[in-house]
Amino acid sequence: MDGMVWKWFRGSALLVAFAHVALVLAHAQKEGPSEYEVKSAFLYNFAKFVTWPTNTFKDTTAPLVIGVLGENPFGKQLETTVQGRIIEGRSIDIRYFDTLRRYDGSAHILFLAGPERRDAAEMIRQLRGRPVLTVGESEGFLEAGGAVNFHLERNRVRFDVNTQATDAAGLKLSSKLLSVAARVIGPKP
Amino acid sequence: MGLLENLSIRRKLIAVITATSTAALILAAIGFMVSDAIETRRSMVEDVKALGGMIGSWSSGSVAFADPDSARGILDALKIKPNIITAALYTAQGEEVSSVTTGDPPPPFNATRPGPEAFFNGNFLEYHGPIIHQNEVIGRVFLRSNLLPLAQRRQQFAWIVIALVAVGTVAALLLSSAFQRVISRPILKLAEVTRQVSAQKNYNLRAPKHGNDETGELIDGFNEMLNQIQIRDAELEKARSELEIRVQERTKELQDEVMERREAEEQLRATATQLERSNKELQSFAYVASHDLQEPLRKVQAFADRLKLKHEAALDEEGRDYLNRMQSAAKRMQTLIEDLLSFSRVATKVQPFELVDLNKVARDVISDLEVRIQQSQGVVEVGPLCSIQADPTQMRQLIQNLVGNALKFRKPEEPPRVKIESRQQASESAPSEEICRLTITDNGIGFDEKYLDRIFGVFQRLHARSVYEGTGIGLAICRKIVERHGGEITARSIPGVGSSFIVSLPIEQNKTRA
Repeated sequence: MDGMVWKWFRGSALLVAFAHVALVLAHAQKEGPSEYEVKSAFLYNFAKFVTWPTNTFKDTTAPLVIGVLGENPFGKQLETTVQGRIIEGRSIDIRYFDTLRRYDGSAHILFLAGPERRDAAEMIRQLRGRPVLTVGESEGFLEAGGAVNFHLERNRVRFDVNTQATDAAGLKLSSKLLSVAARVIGPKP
Repeated sequence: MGLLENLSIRRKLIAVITATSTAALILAAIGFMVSDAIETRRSMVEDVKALGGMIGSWSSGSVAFADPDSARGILDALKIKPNIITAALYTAQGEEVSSVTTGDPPPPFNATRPGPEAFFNGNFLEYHGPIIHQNEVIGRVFLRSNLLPLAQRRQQFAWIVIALVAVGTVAALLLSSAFQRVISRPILKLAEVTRQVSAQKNYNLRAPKHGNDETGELIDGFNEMLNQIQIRDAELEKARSELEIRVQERTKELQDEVMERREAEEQLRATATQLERSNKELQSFAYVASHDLQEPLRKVQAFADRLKLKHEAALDEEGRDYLNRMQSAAKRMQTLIEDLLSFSRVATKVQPFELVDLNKVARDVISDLEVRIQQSQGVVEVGPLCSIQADPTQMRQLIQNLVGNALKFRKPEEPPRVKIESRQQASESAPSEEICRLTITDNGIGFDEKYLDRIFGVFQRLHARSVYEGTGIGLAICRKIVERHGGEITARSIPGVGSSFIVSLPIEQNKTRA
């Protein structure tokens, strides 16, 4: 295929793609999944695109634990999302912690609900060096040393990644995860 | 095959080999084309599966997080595959993440679509494949490829096939022209020799043999046939020359024979002519002599009568005896002359043949001889007789002579019994002719049959004149008459018992014989 045709193809493809995106967005706005439905799916997906050090688990069938710190914004959505899912032989447990003090250190992914920057800094400080993927939804979460941070981009849920934090936690992130991230700070693999 | 019938065997072979090779080539090419088409489709399916799998693998993150930007980046990479005209990524829930197309938009997602991942749908090859991550279907890939590679390949192949068939046909033509000689050369040579043999009639020619195949057998057979012809020709020639020699020999023999026969015939003819002449001379002499002899004899008789009448008294006993003897001798001479005359008249004084009733002739003869019959107290029986074409005078002469003889040569102590009979029958010599067989039988003295040849001769007598008077001319006259009528006369006899004279005469006369 020569350049002219490809240009035309790309042009038309872009047009069609834009049209689709617009359609999808319109769809999402109307009756699409809510923000926390998307976020719960993303949390589950993180579990699939991140590799933890093997000694993190008690044994090969020990469940992978997703923890929610703070006031639960998901309702029963998280349980619904992970219902019956098995990742590399492990089932997924959802655990809720009201405060950092109540956190028992069992989570592999710890989601800090709410936009509080102080809570975030405290949590990150406590979990530093531990193999936990910290996920937030507050501004400056990554700068504070968090691993993944959700934000909304024109009503669409997106996330940024701090590879320095994940490296420090000893986690391996799939390049596919990185390619989907809106922004990646820290060294790129 | 009708077209090929009158072609030379060379051209036939070239045509057959070339046609066969070309047909084989075309069939092989079609086979390759079909096989290649199948293989190409299969490899297209494999390719699109691999591509779909790859796209699915690359886009698992984009699909998992429903990220259209990164998904779009991956789909854009498909530009290196110009045959992919439509591509789309869907989430596990069936929402389209991203799609690219140069033609129709991708179909709405159908998670429960049955059938294989890749299949040919009309003019397209379509792929619906799952995106699997960590043993979980997290989305789907749709690819639609046009069949341009298939068409291109088909076209390319068609050109190759056309070129191959063209080159193959030319090669087959060249090779078959070269190889056909193996088969055609002996046959052509055989045909050439056959033509020469039939044109020149030269059976010394032989067809050269090249091998021991069927053609070789044919040539052997042909040569053997020529051999046979030559042998037969030689035999025929030999037989013909032998025959010619034999014919020449035989011709010479025949010529000699003919020559001899001609000489003999000429001699015979000369003799016959001479004989006839002398016969005629003799006859005319006899006639003239007899006729002329009558005149002086009559004078002798007349003067003897007058002497006896006037001067008998003047003569003595002895003189009268002399006179009587003279008269008796003159009388005998008269009879002799008359007989001679009648003998010669048989040939000279002829009457034309007419239908003669032999019964009447016999009655006339009997009445003529009545006195002699009564004197001898004899009996003459006449059976029914034939009617034939003959000279009536001569018939009377014939029967009179034979009956007269029968009465004359009777036994002195016994009265004569004469029987005249006839029978009509087929001729022994010519069965188509009817003859009358006339038999005159008596009970007279008979004769020895050894004299049979003599009794029909002139002046032939078996008895002394003193015992039976006569001139010895009668039977000669009979024979002459019978011969003149184209018949035969013969006799049977037992001395002392009787004689039987048998006369065979034709019923009808050929005109030439008269």
